[in-house]
Amino acid sequence: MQNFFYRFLTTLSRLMGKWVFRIAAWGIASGYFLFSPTRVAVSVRFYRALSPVRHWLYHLWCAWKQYHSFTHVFMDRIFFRDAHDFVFTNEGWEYLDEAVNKKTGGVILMSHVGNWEIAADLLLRVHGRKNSGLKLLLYLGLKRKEQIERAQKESLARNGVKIIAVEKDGGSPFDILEGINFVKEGGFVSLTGDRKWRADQRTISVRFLGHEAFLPETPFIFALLSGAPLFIFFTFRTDGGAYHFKNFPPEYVCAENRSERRNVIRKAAQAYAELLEDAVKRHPFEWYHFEPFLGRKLDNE
Amino acid sequence: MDELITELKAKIIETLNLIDISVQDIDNDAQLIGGDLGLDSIDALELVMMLEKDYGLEIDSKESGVKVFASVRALANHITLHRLGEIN
Repeated sequence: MQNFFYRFLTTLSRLMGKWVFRIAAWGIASGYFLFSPTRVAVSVRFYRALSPVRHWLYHLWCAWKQYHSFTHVFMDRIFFRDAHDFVFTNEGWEYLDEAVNKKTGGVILMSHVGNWEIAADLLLRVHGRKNSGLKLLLYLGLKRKEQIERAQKESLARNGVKIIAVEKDGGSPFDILEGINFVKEGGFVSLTGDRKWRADQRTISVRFLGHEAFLPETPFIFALLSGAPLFIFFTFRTDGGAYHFKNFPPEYVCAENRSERRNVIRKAAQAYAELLEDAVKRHPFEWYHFEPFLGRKLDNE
Repeated sequence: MDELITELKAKIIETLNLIDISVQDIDNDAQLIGGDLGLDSIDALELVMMLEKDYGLEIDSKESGVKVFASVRALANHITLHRLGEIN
């Protein structure tokens, strides 16, 4: 029923204009906000950590803005047809170029900031024209894969992006094996840095906005075992609907012996947490996490 | 084959740093990944790297991984077949 409504809405929007979707999306986002108090509480907690001195009404208003900002993600996914549809800027794509040229492969650490699917698509359409050696494999949660508009899936597939959907509960522990071989062949594997995709996934504790948070260990172990560089990548939607993509210089996760592993992984995870913290401070309404993330308050530990 | 199985058990313990596990604790036919040993996808990755380094064996897909890591005996069979393939 939900899929039918979604397809009906997108078809109507294509025929009559984006305003149809905008109005419907506003209603849906408002509905989710009003009738998902547990999830809204998660967002409010995040905004309280971000702006601790502000009043709780401000935090609630921020959560409202976050929910409505998320509708842009869906709109952009649906109406994205061609690279010319979007104005975008980028920083740091030369690091990916270098990795492609050197055939090192890489692990791209993405976050639930902005719109990664569009970033992946543009990365290959625009950037990939210059560098045909760029191969990309996305690991996504199954629900997220289903949310991607069919047209965008086709576009991603046409541009050579492989998607592996991982089920939240269950799924195979061997889902990760294709990724390691992909990297060994010089490809780039995209993994989520700010959310687990399996309930039983190992995590590592970091400090984030003065709280304890737990990040999935997989991307860092992946980088360590494969020897491939780790790229931290963010996408931001800027004013006027333009996108800015930021890729940080590569980091290598190396341990001389097994006893050092935990330490190097913790350092790499903390470095990512600090960049994520900076990103959400600069773009507070674009972190579409919506799941519990902040643990106990750490104060000045 | 028994010798290889024992060798593999020792390698698994060493590679994954399973401090409280001995060779005798690992059942030859029990599920290796996702079984009672508590091994997960990251352990699977480490074992794949170990197989490549120590036995020249590549596990290139999820389907291969499921078959090879079904048990220690399955792993030993796979290595044996791989060695026979090399000899032939």
